[in-house]
Amino acid sequence: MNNKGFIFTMLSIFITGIIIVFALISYETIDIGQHALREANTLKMLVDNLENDVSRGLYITSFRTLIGQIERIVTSGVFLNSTQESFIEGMLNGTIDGHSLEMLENATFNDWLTKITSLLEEKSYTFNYNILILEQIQEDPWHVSSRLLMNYTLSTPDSERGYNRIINITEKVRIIGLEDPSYYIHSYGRIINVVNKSTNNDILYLIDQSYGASRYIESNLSPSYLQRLQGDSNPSDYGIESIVGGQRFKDQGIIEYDGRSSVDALYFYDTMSTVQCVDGAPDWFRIDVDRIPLYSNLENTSC
Amino acid sequence: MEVKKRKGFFFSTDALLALGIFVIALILLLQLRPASAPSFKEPIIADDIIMALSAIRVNETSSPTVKNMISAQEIRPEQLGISIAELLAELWSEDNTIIAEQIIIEVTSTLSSKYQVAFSVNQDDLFGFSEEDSLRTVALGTRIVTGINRSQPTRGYSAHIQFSLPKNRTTSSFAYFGGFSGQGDLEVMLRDLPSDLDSSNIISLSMEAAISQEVTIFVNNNVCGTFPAEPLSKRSQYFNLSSCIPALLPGYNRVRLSFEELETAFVGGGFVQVKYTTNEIAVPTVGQGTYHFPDIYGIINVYDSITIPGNLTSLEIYLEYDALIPPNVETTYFLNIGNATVYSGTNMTSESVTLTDADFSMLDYSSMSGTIPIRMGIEGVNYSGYVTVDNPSDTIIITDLSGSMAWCGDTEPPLTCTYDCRYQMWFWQFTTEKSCQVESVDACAGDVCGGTPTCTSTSNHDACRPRVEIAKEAALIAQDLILTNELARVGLIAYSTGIVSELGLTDNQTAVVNEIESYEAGGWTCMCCGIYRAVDMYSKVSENHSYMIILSDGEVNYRCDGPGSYTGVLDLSPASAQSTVEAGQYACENNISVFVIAAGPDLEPEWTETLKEVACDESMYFETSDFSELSSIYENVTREILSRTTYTSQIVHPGEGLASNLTNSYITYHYESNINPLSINEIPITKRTSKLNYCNASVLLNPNLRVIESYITSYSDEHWTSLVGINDQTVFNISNYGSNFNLIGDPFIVGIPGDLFSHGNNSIAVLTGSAPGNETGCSPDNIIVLSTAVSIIPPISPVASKAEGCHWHVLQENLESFETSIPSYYSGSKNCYYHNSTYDIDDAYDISAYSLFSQLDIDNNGMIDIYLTEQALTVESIVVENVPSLWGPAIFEVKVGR
Repeated sequence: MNNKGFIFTMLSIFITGIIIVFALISYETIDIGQHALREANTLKMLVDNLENDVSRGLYITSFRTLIGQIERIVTSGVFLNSTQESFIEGMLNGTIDGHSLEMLENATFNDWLTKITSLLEEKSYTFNYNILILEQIQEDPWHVSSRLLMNYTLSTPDSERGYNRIINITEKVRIIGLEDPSYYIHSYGRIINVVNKSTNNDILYLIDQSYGASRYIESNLSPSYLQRLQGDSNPSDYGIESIVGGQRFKDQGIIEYDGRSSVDALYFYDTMSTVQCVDGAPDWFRIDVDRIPLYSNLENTSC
Repeated sequence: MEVKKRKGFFFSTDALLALGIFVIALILLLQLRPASAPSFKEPIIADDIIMALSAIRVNETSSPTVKNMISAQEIRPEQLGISIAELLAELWSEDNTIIAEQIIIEVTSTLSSKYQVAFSVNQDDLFGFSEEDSLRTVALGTRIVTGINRSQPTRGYSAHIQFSLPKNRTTSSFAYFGGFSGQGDLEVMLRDLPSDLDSSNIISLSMEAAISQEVTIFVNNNVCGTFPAEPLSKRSQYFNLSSCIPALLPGYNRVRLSFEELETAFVGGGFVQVKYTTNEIAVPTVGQGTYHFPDIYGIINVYDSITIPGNLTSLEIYLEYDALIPPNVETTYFLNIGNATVYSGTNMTSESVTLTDADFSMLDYSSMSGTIPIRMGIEGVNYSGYVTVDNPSDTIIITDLSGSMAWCGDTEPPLTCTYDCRYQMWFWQFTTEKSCQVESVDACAGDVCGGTPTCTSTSNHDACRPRVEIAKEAALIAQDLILTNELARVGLIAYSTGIVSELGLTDNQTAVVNEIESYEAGGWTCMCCGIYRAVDMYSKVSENHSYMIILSDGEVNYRCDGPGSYTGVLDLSPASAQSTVEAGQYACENNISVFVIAAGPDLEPEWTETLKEVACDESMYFETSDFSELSSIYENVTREILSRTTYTSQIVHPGEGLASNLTNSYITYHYESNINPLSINEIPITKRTSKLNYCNASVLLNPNLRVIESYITSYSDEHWTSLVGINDQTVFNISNYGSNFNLIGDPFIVGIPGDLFSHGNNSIAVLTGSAPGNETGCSPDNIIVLSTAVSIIPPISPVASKAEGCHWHVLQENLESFETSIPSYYSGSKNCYYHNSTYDIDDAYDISAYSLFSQLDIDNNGMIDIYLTEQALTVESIVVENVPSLWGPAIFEVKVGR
């Protein structure tokens, strides 16, 4: 009987021990699994973070680069040779035509990438990227778009897990409120005209506005905002145009181009077009016949 | 029973032991289990919250706080598209944590109450962290947000500021007179006055001109006043015509000058100016200019110019005149451009003629650039012609008659032959010197002079011309020339040990010649005696232009004790030289023009230095080692004096019954401009010097200025503007057009090409004259006007947290303050001061404005070098709003627990 008791006692201790060992092993297994899950979650979260924030980084840097491009035109007094080249230079190097701009100081897309890389490296993640496309395009009249196509890999410290993904995003910067450099250049730096969208296409309203600050309408006969940055007067599907108040130029001692169309692209670039006057409009106003359909209140051009 | 009891106890104890072991095992298991491991739900919830906050846009949320902010426009339009997470991060960066908390409460309100959330940005508590410690399990979700930083603006302003011309600004219209516009009543036109001109916006109406008699001025037939003439020649006078301001009209306005005496009815350079404010600024036509002749009612006698800033391409002239010609008188009307007569009309009583390029074969267009003289007048009429005018003048010729003046001067005849003559008297031999004039050097041989004593032999023959004889000849030439001026007088002083000969100022040429002929050399050299004596002679009898011509052949060895001392003391020390210099300078200080001529082969450098200092300036010092040149030097000096006292006038004396009028005539010229106009980012700045006072002026050009074009005025009166130069380059030289100035025009305004200016000091000279080499000085009232461009890099500010503006006070180098509001509509109370850098460094407008002004402060002394108060300039500005900043990235975290 005593032996039985001893045997049962030992058996129960043994079984209990086995249970404890199993329990410990299962705890460890659960912990490993949870760790792996947490790591996977963290990686996924970083990918989400990265892909969310790249939009912000692209928007901020492309906005400032656009301002930088305008600043370069204003300070140099000449249009950009190439908006595309200056955009890439500004976004990656913080310079335009080799000139440093305060606007882009520590505010380039490269700076953003560097910050993100160091942030990830602090957490021992490996981040590699390759910019495939970085371009400045116009996809609608009132916004300048920045498109980024970038391939990147983000991997865990042990490189056991990772992502290899493509980022393909486009950010739009509104041009309303920005300076139209074609006015600045053609007025020898004495007139600033800010892009403001007209509420209507009434020619008399637009003429009236042109005495102070010319307003813009969409026009596929005129250059887009990006084209204006490089002095390109060719028409664009995303073009905009304004009426140039010649008196405003005359006030600055700048010769008035009599006989030219008063639409900015034609007024500035001396394109020979057939022009007409408009009843009710001031004497100086002329418009080329191709544009008559773009405006309202232009029924009577018999003068 | 006892056994049963013991079994029961045993089993009970065993069961308890087993239970104890189980409990111990359980406790061990619980202790070994990871204490804080969250459930699977918390990370998912944390991730969901982050994803939701990142996905839901501001304009999509149902949060009442956000909606209120949108309706109150506390959220900007461009923020509507950002996520709630970004909004919360931005609110944190702006220290709006209370609003952020409220939004968090609202957006997490549907979360089960058993879960609690806490938010932070960059480990800075945002919400719920007071309860974090009590959370049993915690899961973490994070979001990277670029562009925010605590207490830093996420978006800012960038201002662009530049100068421009105000729409309504002050400007002037001018009507110019030529170097000589005459003779008779004159009428000039103030052209193209703006249509918005009326008395209320006219600031001034005035005329500045050199006139020679009283004048009555009319504007559009309204009398502005009668003004007396300034008695001095070549002086401009200011005429206030403000009483005629009400008579001015938009468009064309006639300004008429009416004189009494035809002979002096002219303007010797000048202009009429009307200053006004207008909205209609005329843009100057590039490549074309029109010169309008003044309308003349009297005798056509015009000397003027046109300035062609480039290469002349075509020319058109319209002339309209009529004349009253006495019977049997032949007249020729002529128009000369440069040195070519482009129109000649003989004996015509009236004419209106248009000339075009085909009529100008006599002109070389390629050489017609810059200021070209224009002359229109009449010839062949019975008038006494051009006037030669004499001014009173007194000249004293001071001649050195010291012993060295008896030495040989040259070997040109007439020669004096000297030799030693030995003769015998009784038993003794004697030697004496004989001298006489001979025809040639060869003739100086033997006892050529003859006479007694009879020479037994001769030796030491020397044939030459003593210096004193040459000096006498030169003095005779000088007096002869000087006395051609009917109002001139000549005085004579000869010095050696003291004053050995003198003749007071006189126009009696015989007395002068006799006195000069009597000169003989001998003794020491007391030049100061001669000078002081001459000064006394002037002070007693002369108020005229005074000149002194001093001759010396070498060292001075007598000293004077100052003014009034002309006996002198022998002193072989340098004190004699010093005393002589003092005497010369004393004469100069007494308005006597002292010319010094040093002649002789034995001039030592220290002597010539002394003599140089005796002259009033180095240009009045002449030196030669060859005495034979003395006469020509005297002649040059005398002609210089003559040119200062005598000149040919532009005035004509018309004969009886002759009259001619010129109206509506003009010259239009087209040219390819070589002016570099204002380029982009250049601001026009007009600089106008004060009156130059001298014929040489220095104009300082700051390094950031470029001269586009400039001109100098020359009130030449009845003389000709003869020479204008800048930095040793001649801009205008009337001699290029001939030697008879009466046929050449006379510019009042001479253009100076902008590219001849250099940064720093520019030396500009202007002279008048009446014949080649006959300079007549210049007007002290001349001015230089420069159209310059200042290059400014338009400042675009870095991104700043605000853009409010300021009222700026900018100190100029002339200590005046230029004040302006930037932006122009700024109406706040903030004042900014450039000189002590007082401005808001967080305001984009202020940053740009400071940068703009600092570009005008060349020497960085806090005062701008461009006088903005004198310029019609305004400051334009724009600001780009919502420029995002690349702060961070910040880490936005959410913690979820139970």
